[in-house]
Amino acid sequence: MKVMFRLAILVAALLLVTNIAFAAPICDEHVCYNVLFTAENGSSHTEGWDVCLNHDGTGTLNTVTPLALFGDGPIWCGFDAHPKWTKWIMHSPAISGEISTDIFGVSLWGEGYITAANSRFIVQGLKRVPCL
Amino acid sequence: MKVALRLVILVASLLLVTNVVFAQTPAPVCQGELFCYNITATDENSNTNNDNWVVCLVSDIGVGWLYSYNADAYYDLYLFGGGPGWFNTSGGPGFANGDPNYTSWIAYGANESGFLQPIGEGSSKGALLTGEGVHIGGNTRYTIQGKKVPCKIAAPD
Repeated sequence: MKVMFRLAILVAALLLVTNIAFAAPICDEHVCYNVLFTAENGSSHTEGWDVCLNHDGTGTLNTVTPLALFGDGPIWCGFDAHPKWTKWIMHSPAISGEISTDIFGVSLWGEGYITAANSRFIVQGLKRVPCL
Repeated sequence: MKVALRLVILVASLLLVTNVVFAQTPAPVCQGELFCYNITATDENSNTNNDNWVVCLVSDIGVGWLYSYNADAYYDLYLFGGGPGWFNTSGGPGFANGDPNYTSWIAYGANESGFLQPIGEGSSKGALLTGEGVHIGGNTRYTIQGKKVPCKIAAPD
C-alpha cells in the first residue's frame, strides 16, 4: 500500500513537471516564428519567437514583451483582427518596435530598438509550424 | 560681520529655492532638422484628440525626438529606411536634399509607444504622417493621422 502511494506521488510529480515543461502560453492564438535579427552594427543571429495574440488586441512576445495589435495596414490600421492581426507594436522599457505580417501571418518583418544595447534592429521571420 | 554673513546665507538660500522652483527638465537640443505636424489621434473607443507635434530628425545617426504639446512630453524616435516589407537602419533608398530617407519611425517614451510613417514627398520629410500607438498605462490603442504644418513655435525650452 505504501509503495503504491509513493508511486502515485511520483507519477503525479512527473506529470506536473511534464506539464510545466511543455505548457503552451494561454492565449487566443499561439504562433511561432524563426526570426533573423540584425542589429544596426550589422551583427545578426536567428532566434525563435513565441507569440501570443489575443482577441482583445493584446499579446505578448516570448511571454515578456507586451504587444498592442492592429489589423489592416500597412499605411492605415484598424483595431480588429481584420484580416488578421497584421501589425504589432512592442512596448516595454527593454524593447520597443513594430512588427508587420502578411495577411496569412506566414511571414513577418519589422524594426525596433533595444534599450540595453542602445541599438536599432530589423527583423525578418517565417512562421514555424508546429511551435515546438 | 555676523549680519553680513547671515545676509549672504539668506540670499544664497533664496537663490537655491528659486532655482529649485523654476527648474525644468532641459529640453533636448535638435541637432538635426525640425518639422511640425498637426495630428489627430483616434483611440479604439473612437475618441479623438488633436495635438501639435514638433519632430526633430538627426539623420546622420538615425535617431530623433518628438515633442507633444498636449502631453508636454518628449519621446525618443528611432529611424528606419525601406519598408513596408523590408527595413534598414541606414535610411534610404535614395536621399532627400542630401539626407537619408527615414520612412519609418519608432516612438517611445513616457507611457506611449508607437510606429509612425511619413508619407508624401517620398521621404522622411513627408507632408502627411500616419501611424499607430498604444498608451501603455491604460493599454489603449490608437491610430494617428497628421499633416505637416509650418513650425510657428519651436519645442519649448
